[in-house]
Parts: sequence; C-alpha cells; structure tokens
Amino acid sequence: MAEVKLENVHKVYEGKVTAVKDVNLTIQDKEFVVLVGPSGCGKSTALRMIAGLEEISKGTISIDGKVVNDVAPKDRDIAMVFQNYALYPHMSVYENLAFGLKLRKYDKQEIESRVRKAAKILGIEQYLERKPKALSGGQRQRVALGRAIVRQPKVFLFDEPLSNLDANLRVHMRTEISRLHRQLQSTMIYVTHDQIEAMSMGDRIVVMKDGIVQQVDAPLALYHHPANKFVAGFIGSPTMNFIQGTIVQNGSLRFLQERSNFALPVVPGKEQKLKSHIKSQITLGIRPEHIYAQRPSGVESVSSFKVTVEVVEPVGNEIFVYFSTGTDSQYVARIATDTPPEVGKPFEMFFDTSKVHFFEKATERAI
Amino acid sequence: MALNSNSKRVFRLAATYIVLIIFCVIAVYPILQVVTISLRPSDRLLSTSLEIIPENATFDNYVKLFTDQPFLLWLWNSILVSGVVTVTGVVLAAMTGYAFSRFHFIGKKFGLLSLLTTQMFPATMLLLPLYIMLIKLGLINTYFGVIIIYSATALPFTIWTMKGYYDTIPTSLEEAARIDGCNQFQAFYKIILPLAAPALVITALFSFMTAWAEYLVAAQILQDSKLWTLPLGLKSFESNMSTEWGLYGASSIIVTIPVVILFLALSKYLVSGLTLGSVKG
Repeated sequence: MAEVKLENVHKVYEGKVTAVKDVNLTIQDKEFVVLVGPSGCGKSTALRMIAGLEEISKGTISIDGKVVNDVAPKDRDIAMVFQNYALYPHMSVYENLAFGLKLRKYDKQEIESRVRKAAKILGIEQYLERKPKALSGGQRQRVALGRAIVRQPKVFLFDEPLSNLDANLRVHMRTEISRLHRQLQSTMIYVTHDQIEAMSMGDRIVVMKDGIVQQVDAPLALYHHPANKFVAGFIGSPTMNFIQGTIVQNGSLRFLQERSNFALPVVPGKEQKLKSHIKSQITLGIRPEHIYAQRPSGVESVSSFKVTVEVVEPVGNEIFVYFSTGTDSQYVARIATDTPPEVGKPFEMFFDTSKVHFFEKATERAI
Repeated sequence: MALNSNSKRVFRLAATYIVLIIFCVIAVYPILQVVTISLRPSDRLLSTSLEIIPENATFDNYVKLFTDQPFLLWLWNSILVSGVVTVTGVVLAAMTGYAFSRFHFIGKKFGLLSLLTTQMFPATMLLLPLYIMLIKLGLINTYFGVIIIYSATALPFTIWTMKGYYDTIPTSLEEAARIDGCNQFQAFYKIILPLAAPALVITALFSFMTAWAEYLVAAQILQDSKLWTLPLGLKSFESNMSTEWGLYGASSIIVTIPVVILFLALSKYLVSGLTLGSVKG
C-alpha cells in the first residue's frame, strides 16, 4: 500500500515566485498518475517536493499514510528517473544499479540477483560492465530505469524521462514504461509536457497551469469533458478550435460568431445549461476531428458552413485543413485523405454540433 | 595540385617544429646551465665554456650537499610544510568550493568577492601585517606559522578553482544519489569528489608549489636555521664574500625533482570528460 497524498501544498521561491499553489491530490496505490502542463506550470516542482529535493513551503505530503515533509529523500522509499538520466559516470552500469542497494547494506548475493533481474527486464544484461559514456541515449535511460527498479521502492517518480530521446525511441520507451507499471504493480508519478505521453500512459492525468491544478481525471474523461478552456486546448492535437461569440435566442438557441455570419444551432441537450448565458460572451470549442469535409453519415446534428481554405497539410493518413470563416481567426479540421480541398477556394465544411464545448469567456470555465 | 597541397603541409609542419624547438631551447637552456654548473669541479666554477658536460665533471657538489650541509634537514622541513599545506589546501578548498557551488546562504556573494579581492594584493604588501599577526599569536619561528600563511595564500585561488569545477557537474547526480540512499555528505564524497579529480589535482599542485618554492615569507618567519626550508637553505650558500655556485646548482636541481615527480604522477588525472555519459550532453 503506497498512497501519495498532497494536501494544500504550496511552493514559494524566496518569498516571491509561487511555483505551486494549493495542490490537493491523492494518488492511489498502484496508480499511474501523469502530471502534465506547459513549461513552468509547477509539475516538476510538485514531483521534486514528493521526492524531497525541494522543501515544501506550506501544506503536507504523505506517503503511505506518513507525513514526509521533513523526511530526507533517502528515507522516503522512492526512486526517481531524471530527464538527463543522472547516471554516475565513474561507475559501471552494474555499479550504478547496485549503488542504492550497497548503501542500504544488502548482502552481495541479493544485490547480484536484483541487478541481474532488473537488467534482464530492461534488456541491458550485456552492458553491465560498461561505463555510461559507452552507451547510447536509449540504453542510458534504461540504466536509469534499472537503477529505480532494483530498489523495489514504494513510489516511482519520473521527471520527463523521455524528453531527451528521439521520436521513435520515445514511443518505444513509452510502452516499455507502461509495461513495467503493469509488471511491477507500483505507484508511479510521471511528469511530462507531452500530452500524447500523458494520454497514452496515465490511469489519471493531472493538468497543471501556473502552479494550479486545472483538472484531474482519466485520459478520455479529460478529452471529452474538459473542465476549462485551458484543458480543452492543451489536450488533443491539433489543438481544439476556439470561436468567440454570443448565445442568441431566435426561436431556438444559436451560437453567433462576432463580426461574421458564422452561426451554429445549440443541440437540445445543451440548451438548458446555456439558457442563463444568453447575450453573454461565450467561447465555443470544437475539436478538429469533429469538422468534416463531407456530410458524415450517422451523425444527426450537423451544420454546414462555407469557409475559405488557407493551408492544406497532408500528414499521411489524414489531412489538416486550416481555414477561416471570414474573420481573422484561423481554424483547423482533420479530414480523411479522399476529399482534399483546394487552397484559396471556398469549401463547405460540416460541423458536428453535438460535439461542441462551451466556455464562459471571462472565467474560461466549461458550461 | 596534390603536390602543391602536400608541400604546403610539409612546410606548415616544419614551421611548427622550428618554432617549438626554438622555444624549447629557450626554456631548457638555463636549466642545462644549472646542471653544468653543478657538475663543474670547484676550480672551474666561473668558466665561460658553453659545454653542457664540463671537463672533469664531478658529482662532488651533490655529495657535499648531503655530507657537509644540513641539506636533508631542509628537504625534510620543506616536505613537511608543503605536505601539510597541500593536504589542508585540498581538504578545505574541496569542501569550501562545494559549499559555494551548491548552497545558497547569506554572504555567499560577499565571501566569493572577498576571496577574489585577496588576490589583488602582492605578497610583499601583506608581509608586515602577517608578521605582526604571527608575533601576536606567538607563531614566529614555527612550522605552523608558515603553514597558515601558505594555506591562506593558496586557498582563494583553489576555492575558486574547485567552485568553478563543481559548477560544471550537474546537480541531478547528487539528487539521484540522495534518493538512492546518500546523505548530503555521502553524495559529495562518493559521487561529486571522484568526478572533481582534475580540479583536485590542480588544487594539490598549486598548494604544493605555493609552499615548496616560497622564500620571502619563510625568510621572515623561520629565523632558526633548524626550521629552514629549501629556499632558505639555498640562499645560505650565498654570502657577502662569495657564493657556493656548485652547491647552489646541485641543490637547485634536487629541489626540482620532487616537483617533477609530482607533476608526472598527477598528470594522468588532468583529463577532461570525467562526467561524460552521466547526463544528456
């Protein structure tokens, strides 16, 4: 049982810069939680506070029911994998893996068997005698993972461990870490700025911005029900389209874009919530995959609209179409490769109005 | 075309060697002259011959150093003083440099700047205040007196050297060690110190050299001839009436030998790239 609990955790640097603000989070035993957000959002600081590498300015962090605010990193029974690997360059791979065990006075045979086992799991058995400088980036990161797993800690912490690897290796290591999580059945906390990593690996995702937790939820729940405009825009690639406008009642409720004649009807399911927002400023969000180049079959609530195509980006299995609706703003749609539109020409796009999100303009909260 | 570029290459190489040889000769010739003087029999000391191995060459001067002169005592004094200064210098600079590199504390900037400021004054200017301080502490005519002064002279430079080197070692290495089970001090001596070997060698050599060849301070503080270090001993060969050039030459050569051995022994640690492979470079 290794539950990690953060209660009202703050981090303030030199009394001025607030890096983490009032974070409350409970990470269940054996859960894989990903902290995600843009640079400087406080996700790494939060992780380093759990590790004990940063002091906690206010609040408490407990691991396994025990408050660890004043416990040294070595006594927290955690392991951490760093972005830059942080291998000990003067030691061989074997010594790197055995270092933590030696310090904890394990007997030689136990160390040997644990190191061999970890090396086997990670496929680095043949490199045990080498020094880190004789390894490639991917191999080094495996050694760093090995150093974490030999200790069999209560909690694993990952601080952007794949950011330094090339794209192919990153995808490969991603699945490997997920496999490790299934195999080891431990609590894992993973920090990344890459939303694809977050979506594909986490049981739950914590989205952070400016030191504040924006939303904590399962990956698909975040995707389909973002709590605010920031989460909606951060999760998903290409990013969600946002259109500024107002809700007007003209018989039925409609969304009307400012300074253009772009309008979408509000589907019956959402009318109730939007009634109190008539004539107020609203941001409509629609994901690129919910805009089609042909009327989609089986989708009832579709509105078509003439747009001007500005850029067409084929990426292989689909095409990103950047278009405008007559205002300055540019929007993007993700469409199938069989209907490529021509640049500069008006084109009819189909919007799935049941998939749109509405956000209050002032607070950016989802309606 | 190929011939042209080939001859160009040969010319460039030849020019490089010629320049190097000229400077080597300029550097080595005085030392060879000292060797020559030390080997001359006593009746030919002031000869103007340019021979490197003089006529009737003899090791008499070397033998005399150890039989007629208290040369072994001076050597021992020098080794003792320089050894203690080196050990003190390495231990203090390694730890102080680490503190300046890694920790934030009140007065850090002031401390670093103060250390730098001490380097701006010539030793002669500090001689009088140091002398007065040592008198008040009762340390005149003691090894301890010169050891303190030499250490204090060498430390500012060595602390800066160590700090600069630690700054290049990523902090994530210590953080990894602290999570692996080290306390702060273990992380320092098990992980960081081995990686700082090149800077430690520089520190050791600099501290040793500060003490080994120093004359001015030693001459003021070590008045008892039993406490003399080698530079003081060498100077004693020179008197108002005459100078024992043969002994002077022989002892000069012997004085340089420990330094050469030290440089050769430590040079293998003077390599870059010890931290290679630790982090993404």
